Formats: sequence, structure tokens, C-alpha cells
Amino acid sequence: MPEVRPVVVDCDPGLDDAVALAMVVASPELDLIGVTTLAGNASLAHTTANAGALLELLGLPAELPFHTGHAGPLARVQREPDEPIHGPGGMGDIELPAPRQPRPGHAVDWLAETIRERPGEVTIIAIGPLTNVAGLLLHHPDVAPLIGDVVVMGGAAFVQGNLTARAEFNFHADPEAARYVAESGVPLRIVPLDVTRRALVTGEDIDRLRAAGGIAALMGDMLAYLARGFERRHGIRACAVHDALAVAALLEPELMVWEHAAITVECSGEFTRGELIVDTHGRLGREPSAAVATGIDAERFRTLMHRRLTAVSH
Amino acid sequence: MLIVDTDPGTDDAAAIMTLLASGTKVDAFVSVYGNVPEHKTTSNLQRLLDIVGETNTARYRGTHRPMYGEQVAAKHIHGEDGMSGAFAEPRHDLPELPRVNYVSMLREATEPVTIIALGPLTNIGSALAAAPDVVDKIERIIFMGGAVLTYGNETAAASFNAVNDPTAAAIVYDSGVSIAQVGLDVCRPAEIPIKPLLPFRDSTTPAGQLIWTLLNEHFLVKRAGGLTEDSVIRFNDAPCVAYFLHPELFRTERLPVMIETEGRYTRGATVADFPGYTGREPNTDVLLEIDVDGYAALISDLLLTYL
Repeated sequence: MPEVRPVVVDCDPGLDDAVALAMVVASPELDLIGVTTLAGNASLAHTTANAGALLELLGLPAELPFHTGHAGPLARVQREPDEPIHGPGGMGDIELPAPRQPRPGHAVDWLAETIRERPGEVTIIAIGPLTNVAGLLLHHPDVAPLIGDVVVMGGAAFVQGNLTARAEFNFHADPEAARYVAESGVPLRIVPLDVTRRALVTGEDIDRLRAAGGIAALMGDMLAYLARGFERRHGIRACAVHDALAVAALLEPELMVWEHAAITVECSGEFTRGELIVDTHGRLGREPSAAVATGIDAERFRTLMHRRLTAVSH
Repeated sequence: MLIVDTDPGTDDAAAIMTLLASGTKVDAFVSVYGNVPEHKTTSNLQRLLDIVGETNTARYRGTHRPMYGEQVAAKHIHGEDGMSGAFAEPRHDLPELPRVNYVSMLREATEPVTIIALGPLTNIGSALAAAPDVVDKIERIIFMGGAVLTYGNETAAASFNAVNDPTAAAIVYDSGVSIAQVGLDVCRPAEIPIKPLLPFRDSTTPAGQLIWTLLNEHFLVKRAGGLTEDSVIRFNDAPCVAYFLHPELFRTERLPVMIETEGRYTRGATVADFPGYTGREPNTDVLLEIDVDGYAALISDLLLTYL
């Protein structure tokens, strides 16, 4: 592996996607080589416009590859909306600059070309539904062994879900894609609700970000929006920053407890569609294929996030 | 009125011995297929009750297969005879037990019935399907099975007793009956140190010798390379009895719980709706945490009465 790791962020912004993207940009260990979008927290049009605006906001070079991908799940026509959490356009009440336009060409094809050029090097940070990653493997199977690894925010291993009793939003949004990726043999690091829910950012953290000015303050505003929703539901001024945990997993893997297991995703099931299955004890009869984060040092994550977000220049 | 529905099973045997040692009056014992086929669970039940002198309580044999789907057995845990070899010699002189008729047993019950269900829920589920009215006679079912915030023991997502007959389990959970779910969340951490039980090595009573076999031949002891002073064992059915006797040893949450009957990987999973996404009424006291030391002391002390 090169010292600076080339990463692609495959995202559906989404407020926590914005925080994740800002953390990537602020991290000298990571070289952001492209951004791809898909439908998830909002429609593809919204997530792409949001991503385009975030690239402007973060001052990224105009030539940075930026491509749109899937507009809905792999095997179904209908997308499941997530607007209640992120607001109608996916970015709460946050004012963003005018978005830049994505390049022509499908995200999946650009990903394939890029990975072929840098075999074994590229990490995909997948923080939306897994539709683009599954699409990549479906349309360009030769690329599978060339992917460095995929860090996924998604699933609920041994905790309750956040969309149904057993399923997390990203996996539930496209269970077929998630299963395709889970069983693909591509090196996977899964960052599920087991850790994202335990790494709550507090109201004080948010106030400190807002006081820091610049990008950090804007990220603080985004977290404040999420925290207002969280407070309405749970009575505490705090919020989970799910997608940012995927970036943290890459920057400081030792922050989390990892279990190595075969994984899959339930695609049928009356109550369990979209459930992540983590087979820690070999009941599926498959080789371990993923590292799944099941524990986290929440304090260290909050420090890491604050440090990175306040280091974003602009 | 108390009914024990059981598939002995080494841990069933330990649970039943514990329950009887507490002085609890049981009104009927009913067998069900499960850990081993029904003809073995039925004869194991009879032999166990004979050994502990429980000879006057009604005994019935129950169903021999799931309402729907294939039975899975657990011979790797309980041995070919289901009793770690204690009953390896078959007995041909046991009386034929009458088939259970839960519907009439419940309809004729004059007081609320508690069922401690230590095996698949086929007997109870098929009765509730045949006569949903009998649900009114059941005060609660204390069921050993399920996994909520932990992995399964038969599949990655489901527990042995629920996966054996998800259809029956779904009928029971959807019936309106009140359930206490004694699942792997509490059974898996419920380790019992063997040390206080070592005097059973020299026991001369049939019950004491049976307990020694359950300890010495326990799958965890064998897996660890043999019995030592530091060995620990688990009897997955025993927390059901502990909960019946001392509910304060457990932390429970009252939740809506559904049984998954369709999933490819999750069939038989107990789906607990913590945040209330489904809008269903809570039907289950889900046991989520256990006072392991208090539990182990309770079980050991009760078993030691057989010394």
C-alpha cells in the first residue's frame, strides 16, 4: 500500500455524508481521487447536487472526478425515502454554494477504469446504499480482485436496526446489492450501527465546532440539525454521525473492536429484510470475508472528528 | 397449574431437577421432539422422573415433528441418547405414555396455567392453532429460546428451539399469550462453575450419578479437553427455571416480538421491536441480562440437594 491511500467516496449526501467527506479532505493520510453519488438519504438529483455543492464548499479542484451512479436499488424500482432524518433536499436547513456539475459517464464505469489503473490500491468508502458497489461488481467483474478494499457504513450486527427492528437504513435501502457485495469476496470492513450508535456526538461537541468558525462551524450546523431530530426522538441533545465512522475506521482502525466473520444480508424475510448477518461462529459454512466493527472508543472518535474538522482549510 | 414441556436433553434434565429440588409442584410433564427424536425425549423424560422419584405427576408424550419444515437435532451437544450417554442403554420396559391433548387439558384447567417450554413450541403452537380459545387459560409461557442482541446457536440468526418450528413459534407469539423469552441473551453468559458440584464425583445415588454424568460428559468440558476444578458448564434450559423461581436475577424489557418464518438466513429469528417500528402491542418479557453469580449459586445449591 502507498503511504497516502487513494480513496473514492461513494455517497448519498446526506448530512453525515458531508461530515465524512470533510474528514476525508482534512486527512493527509487519504488522497481523495473521486466522488460518486447514488440515491439514498435523498433522490439521486438531490444527492448529486448536494455532493456538487460540498465539493465547492470544501474547495476541491475542478478536475476532481465526480460521477453519478444509481438512482435507486438494484433489484427494485422504488427508492425508500430518508427525508425525515436529513430534510427534504437531504441537507437539512443548511445553505450551500451553487453545486458543480458531475462529469458525464456512469459512476460504475469510472470506478472500474480508475481501479484498473491502480490495481490493489484504491479504497472505496461506501457510505450510502451498496448499489454502486454491487453495480461495479456486476458490470465489471474483472475489477473485483483489483479493489484494495471497501469500507462500508451499514448494517446492524448485534443491535437493533434504525429502519426496522433488525435492519439499518443503507442495507435496507438495497438488500440485494448489500448481499451481492457481502458475498463477493472483496475485502470488506463493515462499520455498522453497533459502533455508530455508540459514538454519539454531544451538544457540547457541536457547540465547540460551531465556535471554531469556517467549515467546522458549518459541519457543526449540520450536526445541530441532526441533533434536533435526535432530541425530538430521544430527549437528548446529541446525534450519531454514522458515515463519519467509516472514515474514522480507515484513519484509526484501532479505535474499534473488529470481528472477522462471514457475512451476508437477508433479502427475504417478513420482518428481517435487509438484516446484516454476521456469522461469527461459522454456521453459514463460509470463510470469514469481512471485518465487522462491534465496539468503539467513543471518546477517541469524538476527539478525532473534532481535530479533523477544525483542520479543514478554507 | 404448571406444565413443563420438554425435550430432554441434558440441559432439560438439569432444569427439571433444579425445579423439582426447589419444591415446586408440577402438574404435568409433556415431551416433545427436539434435542433428539421424540421417542428418545419421551423415554428420557420417564427415566429422569423415575430417578428423581417424581412418580405421581402426569406424564404425556408430545409431537414428533415440526408443524412445518425439517427437524434439526442436537446430538453433538447431548450425545446419541440425548443424555450424554447416561441413558445409552435403551429401556424397553417403560410404559407407553398417553398422547398429550393440550386443548382439553387447558379447557379443563380450573386455574391459570403457566407453561415452562424447554423445547420447540410445536405442542403448544399446534394446540393454539386447533383451539385459539385456550389461550385464555394460559397465564404465561416461559420459553427457552430466541436471540435478540446476540447471534443464534443453530443458525447465525436463530436459536435452536425457535428454528426447529418457526411456524409453531409464530402461532404462539402471535396468539396474545404473555411470553417470557429466556433466550441466548441470558443463556449464553449463564456459566456455572463446576467446582461446588465436584462432590457429585463420589455420589452413590442414581440422581447424583446422573448429575455427575451431565457434568463430566458436558460438551464444554469435553471441548476444553476434560474436567478440571476450573471447568464451567452451561445448561441452557436452567435459566428458565431460575427466572420462574427468582425473576429478580434478570433484567427484562417488555417488547413486541415477532417470529421470522420466511427469511433465508433468519428463519426462526425472534425479532424484538425495541423502537416500536411495527406499532404492535408488547407481547413478551425479553430477558436481556442475568446476574450470573446469583444464577450459578441458585442452580448449584438446588442441584446439591441430590448429593
